Amino acid sequence: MTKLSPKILFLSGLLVLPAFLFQNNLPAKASQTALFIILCAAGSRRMLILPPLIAFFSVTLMNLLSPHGEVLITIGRFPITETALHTGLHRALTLIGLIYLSKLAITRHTRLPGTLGALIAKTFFFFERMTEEWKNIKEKRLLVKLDTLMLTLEAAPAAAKKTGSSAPSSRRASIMFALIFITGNWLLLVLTLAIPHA
Amino acid sequence: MMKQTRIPSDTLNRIALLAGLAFLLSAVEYTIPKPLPFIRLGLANFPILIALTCFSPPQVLLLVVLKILGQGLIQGTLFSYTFLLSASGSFSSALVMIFLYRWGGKRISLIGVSIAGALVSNLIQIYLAGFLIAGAAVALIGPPFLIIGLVSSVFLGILAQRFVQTSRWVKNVQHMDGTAE
Repeated sequence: MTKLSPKILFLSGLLVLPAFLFQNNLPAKASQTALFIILCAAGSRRMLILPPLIAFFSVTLMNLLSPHGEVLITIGRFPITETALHTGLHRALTLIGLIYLSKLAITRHTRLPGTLGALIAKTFFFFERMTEEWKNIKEKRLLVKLDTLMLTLEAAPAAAKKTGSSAPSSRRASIMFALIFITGNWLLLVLTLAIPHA
Repeated sequence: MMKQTRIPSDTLNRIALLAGLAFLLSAVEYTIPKPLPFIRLGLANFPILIALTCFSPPQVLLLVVLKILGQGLIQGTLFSYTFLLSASGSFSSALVMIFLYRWGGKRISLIGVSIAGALVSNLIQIYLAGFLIAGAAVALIGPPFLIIGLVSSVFLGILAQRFVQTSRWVKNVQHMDGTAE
């Protein structure tokens, strides 16, 4: 995924967002979430498996704590109800899906337009300089070290690095990816709306 | 005729510098494992507390915008509920902190301002988390969320207070921007 254009990835994510949010069919939503996770993994974005898994189970469990609908199974004295389970899974999938869609569509090379975009680029410049300079300051006391860091960086020329230019990207591959990604997700939404019990 | 209020480039640079610090702190926080993705220690609020003593309210809000967008870009959460929770919490807490710092005078220290900001931010986030994700069971995550927020805000408030009292950078900025008290 690193060779795809950050701008096209961002726009693709933005266009797929409604197709994911308006999806009420649970298997379809699960498929979309799985697709986002697989694409993130394929793009070798840094992935932590445990936090989303914990989030998924805890959100589902939290919703099960408010029983609603037909009782499916009882574990001890705790009833698992159909509507609560459906709501929990739906919310958990939405949460996880949005996180991975976001990770997929937004890279550190994504550059927002306008004056604010330029200011964010400048902020990223300072952020990168901070991570480099922090190791070079020998001071042991945290606050003095931080103060030295701020004084050093303020004196440095604030040349904003163009964050969008650091990774070469293929325009044709990006457009192909965007077309398939957007069409696939919207088609799934249309299909599940047209055939609700599929 | 309307008076144009453009922010000088030096001030913009300093705001970007503080926002860079917020990015750094949120990157540090991102590496700390949490049971739920929206639970936060709020380390990135440290630069906001510093900014209260150096910049005008609109400039502090600009820093908040940069912090929120930067966090969304670094953590890749710009399209997610996490971003919505973070943005609403950050804005509400910034407004409360600005109000308390500006109108509280010397009666409220940065520690008090930090606690109030964290409280408002966490309450807003709990409400939204209940509405969007957890439902009525949000009452279960509410107390630990508020306790973590309280402890970390006291810690950040103490650090910010000490930094503002001792920092040469803060003194320089206050002197140049005329915000020294």
